[in-house]
Amino acid sequence: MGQFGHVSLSTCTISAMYGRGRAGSSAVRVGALALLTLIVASLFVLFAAVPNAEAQEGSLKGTLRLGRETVEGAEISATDADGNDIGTATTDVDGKWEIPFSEIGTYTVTLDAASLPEGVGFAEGFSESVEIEIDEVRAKAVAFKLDSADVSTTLEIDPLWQRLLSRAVDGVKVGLLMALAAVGLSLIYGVTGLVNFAHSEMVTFGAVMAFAIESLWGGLPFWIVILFTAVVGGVLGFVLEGGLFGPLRRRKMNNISLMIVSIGLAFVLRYSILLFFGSAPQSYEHYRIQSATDIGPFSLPGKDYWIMGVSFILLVAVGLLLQRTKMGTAMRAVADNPPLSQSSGIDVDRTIIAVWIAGSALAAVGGSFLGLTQIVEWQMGEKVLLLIFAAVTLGGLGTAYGAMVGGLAIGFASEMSTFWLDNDLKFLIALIVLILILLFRPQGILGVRERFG
Amino acid sequence: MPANSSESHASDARPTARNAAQMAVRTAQPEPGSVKPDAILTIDNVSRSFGGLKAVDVKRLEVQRGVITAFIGPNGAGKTTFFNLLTRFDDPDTGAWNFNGKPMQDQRSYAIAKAGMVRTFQLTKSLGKMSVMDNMMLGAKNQSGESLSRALLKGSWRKQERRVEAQATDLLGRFNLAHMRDEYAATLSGGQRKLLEMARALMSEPELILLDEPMAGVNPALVQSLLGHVQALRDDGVSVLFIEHDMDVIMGISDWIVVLAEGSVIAEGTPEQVSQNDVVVDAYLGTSFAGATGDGARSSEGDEGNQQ
Amino acid sequence: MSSFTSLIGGYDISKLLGDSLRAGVNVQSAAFALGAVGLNLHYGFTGLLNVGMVAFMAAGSYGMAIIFTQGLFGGSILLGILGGLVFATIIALLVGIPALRLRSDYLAITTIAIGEVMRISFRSRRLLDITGGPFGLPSIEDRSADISLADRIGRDWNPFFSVDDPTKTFGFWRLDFDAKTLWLMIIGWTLVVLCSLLVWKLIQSPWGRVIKAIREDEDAARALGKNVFGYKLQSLIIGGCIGALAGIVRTLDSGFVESNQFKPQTTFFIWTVLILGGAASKWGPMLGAFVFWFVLVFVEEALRQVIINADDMVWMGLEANDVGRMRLIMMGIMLAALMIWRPQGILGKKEEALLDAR
Repeated sequence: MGQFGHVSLSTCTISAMYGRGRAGSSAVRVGALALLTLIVASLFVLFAAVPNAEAQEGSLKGTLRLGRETVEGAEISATDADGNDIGTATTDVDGKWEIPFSEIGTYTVTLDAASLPEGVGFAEGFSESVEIEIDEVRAKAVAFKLDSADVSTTLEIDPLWQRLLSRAVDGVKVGLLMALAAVGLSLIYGVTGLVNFAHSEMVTFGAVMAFAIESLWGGLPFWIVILFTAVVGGVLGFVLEGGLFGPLRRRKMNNISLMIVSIGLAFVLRYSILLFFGSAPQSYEHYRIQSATDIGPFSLPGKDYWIMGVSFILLVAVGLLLQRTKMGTAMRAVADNPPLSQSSGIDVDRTIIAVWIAGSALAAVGGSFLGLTQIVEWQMGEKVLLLIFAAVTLGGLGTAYGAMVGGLAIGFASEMSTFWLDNDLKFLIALIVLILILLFRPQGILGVRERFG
Repeated sequence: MPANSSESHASDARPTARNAAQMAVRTAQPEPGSVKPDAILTIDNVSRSFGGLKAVDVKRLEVQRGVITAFIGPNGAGKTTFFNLLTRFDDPDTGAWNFNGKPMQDQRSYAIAKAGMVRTFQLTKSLGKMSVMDNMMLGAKNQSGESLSRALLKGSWRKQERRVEAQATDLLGRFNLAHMRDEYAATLSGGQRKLLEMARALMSEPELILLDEPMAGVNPALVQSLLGHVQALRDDGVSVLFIEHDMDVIMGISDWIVVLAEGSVIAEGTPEQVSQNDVVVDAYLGTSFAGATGDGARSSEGDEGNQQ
Repeated sequence: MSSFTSLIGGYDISKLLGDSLRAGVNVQSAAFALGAVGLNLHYGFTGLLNVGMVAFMAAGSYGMAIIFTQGLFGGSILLGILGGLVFATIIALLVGIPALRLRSDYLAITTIAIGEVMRISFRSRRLLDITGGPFGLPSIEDRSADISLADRIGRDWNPFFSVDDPTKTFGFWRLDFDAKTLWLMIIGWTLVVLCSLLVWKLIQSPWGRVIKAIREDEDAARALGKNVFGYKLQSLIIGGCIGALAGIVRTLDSGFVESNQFKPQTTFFIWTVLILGGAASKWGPMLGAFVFWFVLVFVEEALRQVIINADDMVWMGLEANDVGRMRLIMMGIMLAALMIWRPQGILGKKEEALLDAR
């Protein structure tokens, strides 16, 4: 209910700010706002009223730790409600264990105390058996809290500010990745007027390609994997523009038809990836597990620092390229006014090809990073499509900087929202942002006002 | 009005007999913002900027009822933007204007058209995949069959539909388009599209029609016919406001000329008064007023011909 | 029936043709035809880029199913259907009011977004008691009144059902259907015809003239005094309600709702149906649905038989379980290829498609 009050308050503020500008259509907007508020409010009420029980992907699994150390060789077994054994597992060198199950129900997971190292027992308030209710055939994490006479363990959860901080850091990370993915979509729209629905598949493509090279030659330096991903992403962009969209545009096909072609293309790409890659989620073998590195108040796996650092550098580089180089200036000019830039001597076709290459390469790199922080799967692009669209609209369709800001904002906001709300609801947040932007500032935060219907 | 008689209207440079409204407007002061004896449109402080540039900044303007008023000015003077603002196809930063005494600045564009202030576009907007006849019939106002609740009750709009069709047939005849009535509008030539758009606007029986460069892109032979139609409109009692960046084309038919430069009204007056105005001559530096009408038509064709 | 069976070198031609024809006329095909009729009003006539038709289908299906399972309004099916239509109307307003004033791209972005958000929200565990969360509503039944939707439609209200012979089938060859399927096919295709005629009558009216004018050039319509936004909203609502009917027909057939039935791909199946049949044509959606399902199942079945007959059951690297994936790839190719080489589809007017290029 708290959220409900918050939402209506902020939307009212916006309408009050806006009300001064235009009187003509305010009645419709107020009506729309009332409707939106009503629907959002009822959704929140619905979601708040029903108790939450969140499930994640996989099977019964967990990592057994004692303080910061992992525990190897502990035996864990699981039984179903009728007491039948469904499986046992022994923790590996990283303390990880996993027991698959196939049906929903209530399971009891037991850690054999005898298999634990000497002197290690269960933390206060935790026993050797955990009862888990499974109502979806997905993964479920099971935690055992251990304690030992030698190692002092802290049972209390991290303080609020630290949890907020870690959410915020995740938010920045996801935001940077969304920005990488969104820049290309927005620039391509800017120079061609095409909303490319296949852009999300570039993200998947990048992640899958990085996975492929990484599993072929394991242990390659990180930067080579990124470089390779960028190159194959760029090549895909080149092929799509040079072999498909460019020729069609020259046949004077309108952008609406081209958009439908891009939808068809998205399907071809997505299910081709499924065909070759398979439906099982994967993760990069050599970067899968990393222990946290502390820098100041942050405690993150090393790869996260890299991802954020490289993403940030890439975005700054894109900004500098657009601002300082001849090609960048040409891109901005074409996005601004294609006929004018053509007549002022800019090679529009070449500029468009360059935008496709750069945009696809960025999306592919963004995808490989996304795979690095989460998992690699054939649907990963489709899953972030909504966030990317919201980001691009928020920033202003067609503007590169807008897409960056929008990506950061949407990524950050949606990640932060999971602190208070269900994981699924982050998409709802993106949709609400999208609708509010369309109602009140359709040109986006960085777009220039033009005439809209 | 048959087409050949409108040709004759255009052929003599100045109508011999002026009607009352034409006489009345000549009594107005030839200065920016001057009061008109019977204004159909009064405009106050309308402005619009793009970035830092003020595209339109009109302090005060009155448009006389029942006459042809021309907006002229060099390219980039803000004429089309001003039109867009008045018809709310663009949002003004500031400003208020009354049409027939009713404030229009807060109305949506369709409501302004419904009120009787109808515009055409510089780049014609013929509805390509609809027949010429459908284009025309779309223009008629207050069609009951256009409301969703009555659309399926054919009986409720059949009679009106026939009336609208008769009106459209009549107008198509006057605009020499009768033979094209069942063709797709996209198959018309550029000049024919201009005619269609003007005829379509007339279907709504407007009180004030705003024509945005109706002569642009039209071949010289048709220009005379178009000018004739514009004059015929005035003779039927319609107030006409039209944009032209070439003075020569309109000197002959306008009753009142408003000169815009850099978004502001710099002069007003009858054609004679404006052509002797020093400010206007400065603004048009390098442009000859005395040039033949034919030159003007050719140059506007050259500018816009490739857009069709 | 064996006289129809013909095996040629390990290929079952009867199954190939029979299954394809069956898919072409089945309830599923009727549901897609209905969706395409709604989309035809949106895209074909009004020019609205609705790429979230599945949101309206979900509104219809879930709306009806929830009203029925919760026993609201006495668990009436008809009121459930009405509730589905009301839900679809609300969705149309929610999407239309912000997005219809803007360029068409924005409607595309908003519609695909609402479709996905609805799907994700419906499967949320927080809505377990209402939508069934991730499990959906596996059997749509009103527990308090002890009736199920499937029984109501399949038995109580079914003129073809007889208690004496509940497994009686109708038809011949591979085209024989049980009583419930036959009844729903009749309901489904009747709805398709009725909705097609409704849309066509609307388009032939002065209202339809304004709608087509908006498709061609909104500013022109606006300049002639037409409230473009209002007309677009009306079109979005009517087409959306027809889309909701599509969802309802599909749910009546399957007897359950589940969020995975409403993935974005459903929308693009419908797009392909419409483009294939011919946008802005009267019977295009209907013919498109038949041809689409016929071709899809034909190629799928042919591929399956080729793989089964190949050495080691692998053909050009494809195995039997790849066939389902291939069909979605094929659908993508079909949609793109149609748009490129035959934008007018089967029944559309070629000259109209050509006018676009001008």
